Amino acid sequence: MSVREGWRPKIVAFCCNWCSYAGADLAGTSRIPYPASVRIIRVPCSGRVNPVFVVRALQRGADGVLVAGCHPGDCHYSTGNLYARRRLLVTRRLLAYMGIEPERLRLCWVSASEGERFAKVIEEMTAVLEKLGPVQQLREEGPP
Amino acid sequence: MSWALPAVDALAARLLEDRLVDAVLGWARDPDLPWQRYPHRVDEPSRVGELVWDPFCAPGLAKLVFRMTEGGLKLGVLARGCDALGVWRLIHDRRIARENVYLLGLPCPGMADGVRVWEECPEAFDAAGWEDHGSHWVAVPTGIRLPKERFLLDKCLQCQVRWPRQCDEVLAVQGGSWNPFCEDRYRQVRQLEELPLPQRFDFWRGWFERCLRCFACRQVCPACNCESCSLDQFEPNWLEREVGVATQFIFHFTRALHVAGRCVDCGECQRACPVGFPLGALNRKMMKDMEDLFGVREPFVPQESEPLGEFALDDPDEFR
Repeated sequence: MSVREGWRPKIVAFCCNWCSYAGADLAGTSRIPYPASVRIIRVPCSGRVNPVFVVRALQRGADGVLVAGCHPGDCHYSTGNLYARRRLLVTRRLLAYMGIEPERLRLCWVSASEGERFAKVIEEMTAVLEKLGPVQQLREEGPP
Repeated sequence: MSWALPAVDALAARLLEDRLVDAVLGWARDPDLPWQRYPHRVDEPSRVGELVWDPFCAPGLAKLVFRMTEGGLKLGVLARGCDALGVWRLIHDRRIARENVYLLGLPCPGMADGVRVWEECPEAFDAAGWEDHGSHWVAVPTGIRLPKERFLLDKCLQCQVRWPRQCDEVLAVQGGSWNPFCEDRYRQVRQLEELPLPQRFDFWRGWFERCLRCFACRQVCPACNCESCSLDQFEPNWLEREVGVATQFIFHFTRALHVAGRCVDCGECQRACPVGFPLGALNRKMMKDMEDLFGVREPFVPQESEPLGEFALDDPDEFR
């Protein structure tokens, strides 16, 4: 597989409005450096993320999908993140079963005060995706 | 003891005569195709003779019960294990009312692939009745023996519910014994899981290329009972009309996830599929995960609550 010159992984991050979006904001306002590979989409809750969002993102140009929500117990809606965890656990296993690298999907808990943690997660995930390369399976025209 | 169709007929007639039910749903012969049995509804006690119960009653009945009981019709259903679970799926999904169905459990010996029997042994269809001899079906009075090893339907090979559960009444007919062909329900899933990732994708891509996206798997599925299906919607356009690897992937991924934790493993999807897509391998993967991740025992048995509709604080967190 030849990766096009200058290719950088793209991550779509679904961040919950109450914790992780604020956490990402804090990473920015605190001027913590992290890779520019992430595109953030704000969602009301990590439980809002439909597993099909993940596949659709991978199909349309993302190389990895991050779902970030409040820590268990801290959800603004009490339990949305716990439903999300179950759903995405199953999603991740199904992706692997159908031939997509499970590392492309990650769920993490980032609170509003954890700017550094957000930066670290993005760094880790970017490193993983750089090793994996672009999504090959779902793009009929080949890697961008 | 013979296959005891008279017992089925007598009970159906009694239910109709006593007005316990308005109609009985079962199977009937096809006038033109000897190997084919169709779902058939009988409304009059005098017509119960139209019902048939032999090793060729392949179609599942659960999804039909859904439409038939919509107008408040009270329906008696001849239910094998898989049909009974399908009906209970619909009851727990609140799509049919419990009091509108009367489940007549039929212990099932496993059903035969009628087309294969027709090709290899057409004289079997002259039989007046059938007996279940464990590893064989035996025609009476002709004495023709059909080995199950050779003729069992794919969906019945993996069956674990030959005994009808949660029925109002179980008929004393032959069948319902343990299924010796199903030692490990997850064998195919494990085989696929052990393949390297690219080969796994190639396996599914090969099937994606064959899938016609005719939606037969959805139409027959008792768990696919939503009023509007996301796969039909244009706004938002969850599934593009274009056919390619990615859209086929999204179709099968969505279908598998939407029945995750709710599939009753009746195998109707795979039986209805015109290209033989191994949908069971997807469904059983979801069941295996429900067992492995959330400790659900017998994930194919419908429950009031479903695994993805609840959570536990100590659910595994394997993302790191």
